[in-house]
Amino acid sequence: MRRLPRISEDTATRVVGIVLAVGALGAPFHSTDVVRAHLLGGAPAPALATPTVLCVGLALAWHSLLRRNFAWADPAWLTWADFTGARPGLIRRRLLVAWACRFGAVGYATLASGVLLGCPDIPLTAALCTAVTLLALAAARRSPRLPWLEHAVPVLLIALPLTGFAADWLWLPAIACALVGLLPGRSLATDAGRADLVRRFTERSLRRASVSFLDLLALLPAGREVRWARALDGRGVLARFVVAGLLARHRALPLAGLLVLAVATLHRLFPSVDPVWWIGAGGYLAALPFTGALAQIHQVPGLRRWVGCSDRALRASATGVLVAVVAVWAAVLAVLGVPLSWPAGLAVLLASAAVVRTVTRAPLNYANLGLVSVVGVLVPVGLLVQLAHGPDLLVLGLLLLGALGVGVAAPVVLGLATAATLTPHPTH
Amino acid sequence: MVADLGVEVDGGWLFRGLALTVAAGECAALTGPNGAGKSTLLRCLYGVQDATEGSVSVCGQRPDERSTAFRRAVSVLLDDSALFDELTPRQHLDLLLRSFPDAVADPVALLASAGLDHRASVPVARLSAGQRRRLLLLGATARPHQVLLLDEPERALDTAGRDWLAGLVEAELAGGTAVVTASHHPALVDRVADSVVEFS
Repeated sequence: MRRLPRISEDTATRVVGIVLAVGALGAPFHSTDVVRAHLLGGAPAPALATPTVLCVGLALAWHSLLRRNFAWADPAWLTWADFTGARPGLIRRRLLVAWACRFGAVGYATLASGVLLGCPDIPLTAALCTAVTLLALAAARRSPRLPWLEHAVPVLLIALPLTGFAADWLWLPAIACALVGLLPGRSLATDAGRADLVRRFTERSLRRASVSFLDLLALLPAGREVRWARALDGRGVLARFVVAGLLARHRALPLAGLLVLAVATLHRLFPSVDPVWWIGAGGYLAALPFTGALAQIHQVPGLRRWVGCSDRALRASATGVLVAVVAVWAAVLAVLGVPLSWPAGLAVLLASAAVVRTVTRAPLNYANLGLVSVVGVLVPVGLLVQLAHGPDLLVLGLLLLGALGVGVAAPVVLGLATAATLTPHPTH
Repeated sequence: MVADLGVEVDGGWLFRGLALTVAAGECAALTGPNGAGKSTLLRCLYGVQDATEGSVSVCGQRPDERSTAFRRAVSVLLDDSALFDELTPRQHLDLLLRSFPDAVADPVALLASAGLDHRASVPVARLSAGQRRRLLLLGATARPHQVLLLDEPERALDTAGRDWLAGLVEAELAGGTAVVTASHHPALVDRVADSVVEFS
C-alpha cells in the first residue's frame, strides 16, 4: 500500500485556515438568511445599502492603488539583473496584480452585499463599478498628473451616498474620475527611476516585516518637515511637541476625511447602531496615524532623551491635544448628521486615551506568544493580548457607556481613561 | 563610582575587577580596541545594562535610565542617540531647553558655537553626519546635568569639529561636571582626561 506523504504542522494549519476563510467568505452566499439575521435582526435592509458599500469599497481601492506602491523593485535585482529591458513589464505585471486584488475584493463585497441587502438599482451599480475600476487602472498606469484630484476622488465617492445618489451630484465624481483616468501622461512603468523603485521596495519590506510580526505601530506614517520654525519655542512645550508631531504627519489628513465620511455614511446605513460606537471607533482610527512621534519617543531611547519630563506628563499632554483633535473630527461628523451627546463626548475622550495607550505600550514580547489551538488553528493569544493594549480601553469604555446610564458610566469612564493615561505601562 | 565591576559575555569576561572613581570636574577616558568593553561600561554607568558582578553608583544612586530624576542628572551620547528627522536643529534645542527644568542656554548661541547656525532651520534628515553629531553633542551638553557619558564623541567630526569637541568637554569640566568618555582620539584624551582606563 502506498504511503501518503507527511504534511507539516504549518501546512496543515495553513490548509485549515484557508478552509475556514473560504467558508466564512462564502457564508453570505450559502447561508444568506443566517448572515442577514445576524446583520439586521428583524429590521428591513436599508435602502441603497449595496451602492453605499460599493462606493466605500471603490474609494478605498482607488486610494490604495493610486499610491502606486506596486511600482517597486529589489535593489539587488536592479543592480545585477536589470539589463534585459524587463523592468517596465515587471512593473506592469505588478500593477495588474495590485489592481485585480483590490477591485476583486470590492467586487466580492458588492456581490455579498447585493445578496444580503438587495440591490435596487443594478444598472447604476454596475456602471459605477465598471467605470471606476477601469479608470483606476488607466490612472495608475501613469505617473501622477493631478495629485490633488486623485486624492479628491475617494472623498467624492464616499460622499456620494450622503447625497442619496442624487443625479445632481453624480457628475462630480464622474468628471473627477474621468479627468484623472483619461488625462494623457507619462507611463509609470518607464518613468519610474531607481530611487523611486528602491524607496517603495524599502517601504514594502518594512510593511511586510511589520505585518509578519504584527507590529502595526511601525506602519504609522513617518514625519515630514515641520514648517513652523518656532513650533517648540514657547510655553507648554509638551503640547507643542505633540502638535508638531501632528503637523509633521499632515499626510494622514485625507484618511481622517475619508473616515468622517465613511462613519457618516455607515450611520445612515445602520441607524440602529449607537452613534457612540461610530464616534469612538472612527475617532480612534482617525487620530492614530498622527501619533507617530509619540510612538517613536517611547520606542527609541535616544529620542526620549530630548524630552526632559516624566512619561506621565508626556502622556497627559498627548491625551489633551488628541481630545481636541478628535473633538474637531466629531464636530464635522455632527455637521454631516451624526448626533452628538454627552456619551459622544465621553467616546471622544475614550478614543484619545486609547490612542495614547496604544502608541505608548511596551514593545511586543515575542517570547510570550501564548499559542492556543482553536479549531485546529494555532492562535497566538499572548501576542493578541499585547496587541489589544489600547483598543481594549476603547471597547471596554464603549461597552460600559452602552450598558450603564450616562450618569453612572461617566465617572467610571473618566476614571478608566485617566488611569490608562497616567499609569505606567507594564512590560509584557 | 565603580567597584570590582565585571561583565561576562558569551562565557568569557569582557572585563573584571574594574574600579573607577570620577569626581565632579574630573574626566576619565576609556581607551582600547573595538569590542574591549568601553561602551559596555558606559551602558552599565547609565543603567541600561546590568553588570555580572560588582557595584556601580552614579550621583549616589544605582543607575536606572528609566528614572526621570536619574536621566536629568546624567546626560549621555551613546550609540543609540538619535534625532527627530522631521525637526530642525533649532526645534531640537527648543524641545530640550523648554522641557528640562532650569535649562537657561540660548539656542541661537549654542547653534553658533557648534557651527550650525546656518543650518538651524533645516530638517536634520538633510544634515551631514558631522553636523548631526554636533547637534547630538549639543543635546547632551546644553541642559543641566551632573554627569556626562560620551561614547566615541569624536566620530564623524572633522578636525575643526574635534577641536570644538575638546573645548566643549573642557567647558563641562570647568562647570563641575564629571565626564566619562570612551575615545579613539588620543589628542582629545591628552587634552581633557584626568585619568585613563586602558581596556585590552
